[in-house]
Amino acid sequence: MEPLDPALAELIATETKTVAPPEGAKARAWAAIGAGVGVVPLAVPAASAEAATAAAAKTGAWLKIVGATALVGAVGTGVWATSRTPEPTPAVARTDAAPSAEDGREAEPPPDDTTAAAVAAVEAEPEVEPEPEPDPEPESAPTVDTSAPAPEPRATKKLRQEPSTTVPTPPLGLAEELALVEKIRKAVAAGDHGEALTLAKEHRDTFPKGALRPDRLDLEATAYCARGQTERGRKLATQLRETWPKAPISDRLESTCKLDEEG
Amino acid sequence: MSALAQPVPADAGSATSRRLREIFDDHYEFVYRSVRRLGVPLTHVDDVVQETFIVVGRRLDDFEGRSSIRTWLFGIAMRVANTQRRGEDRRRRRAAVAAESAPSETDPYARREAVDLLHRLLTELDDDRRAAFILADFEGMTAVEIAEGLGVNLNTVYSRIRAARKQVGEALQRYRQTEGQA
Repeated sequence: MEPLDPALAELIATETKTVAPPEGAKARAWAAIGAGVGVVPLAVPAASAEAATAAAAKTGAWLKIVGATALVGAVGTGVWATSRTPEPTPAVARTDAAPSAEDGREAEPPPDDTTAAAVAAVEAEPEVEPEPEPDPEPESAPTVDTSAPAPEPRATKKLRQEPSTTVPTPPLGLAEELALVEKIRKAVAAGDHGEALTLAKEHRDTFPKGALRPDRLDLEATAYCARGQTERGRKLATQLRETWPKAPISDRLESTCKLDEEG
Repeated sequence: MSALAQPVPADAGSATSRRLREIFDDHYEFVYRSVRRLGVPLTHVDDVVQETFIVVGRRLDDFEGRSSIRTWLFGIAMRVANTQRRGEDRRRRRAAVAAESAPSETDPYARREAVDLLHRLLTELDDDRRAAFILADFEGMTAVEIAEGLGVNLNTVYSRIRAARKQVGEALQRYRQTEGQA
């Protein structure tokens, strides 16, 4: 067969070096897949643990996502355990649909004008809302103990309870938080910044101590800058850097808020 | 998740769970790259990758190992991507009618023009050529592997790769000429 056209070969070489999943995408994907297929995220294989550890050493946010995945796995283990009993296990379907209709917040119809809603939400907030105290970032990367049994997830007891006649208030866990942050990410990527800010506010209200706060702040700051509220976006970026100094700043945030031009 | 991905029964068995996890760990990046190259908009890539693995979880017992797992995964990713694209095409047609202009297909944040260009050129290929071209020239798979995986004759694979290279090469030349004139 004839060799590739050199220009095309060069283009393909560039592409193969460039196209890779963004940081954290794999962990998020597994969290979603685990919920979708109802399988238990098993103990991380040694190779993956090493890779995760290496990555964790580089970035704090990745650490949180790995931790989040592990916790989702623990919840999944609980679901798995309960699924072997005669009792029904609504957790899988609920997690898949997160944020779900069971969630009282979702029962309300969405605002007609998300941009207006976002603006209203922004106006109602202080200029830059201080974040709660962050969880301390570990100095060294944690190791994954694959031999130890998964701890009993806190959510499991709740999942086993008989349905109440009152309005159910299912526990919101990391799967829900991941799903919400992913919705914010998609809204930002789609250029729907009003929706992104609405969802970011929802995240702030629902997960005040959430593990993915750095990710949300990054996206929120990006959305503000993209809407032209550069100062506000930059303030959030500064807050992100000061609160989580090891969290990576996304290229998107840097370019949208032009952080390299900050005086 | 769409209706395409029906959940695996909860009693699917830990062996299947473990196998799915292994496949995910080993091939997630490959599936991600493939989905990008199959013309799925960046905003939908994560969804398509996830759905691909959900389908893999459902069909794991069907995989007989007669072809490479990567070509099997690629085939599933291609079907999921096509389903997504058809839905997206319908959505775009409706939007185009409403706005009387087609929305941009480029990611507003994309900084790597070369990659965008190549992916646009890939969308001009038909499914058969694109699959052979991606697996051979991007993923470095042999024609024999591709033929087994796609279930086609070896000569057909060569023919598709040759045709795809010619078509993309010519499109690239035309693009460069247009760029030079601009």
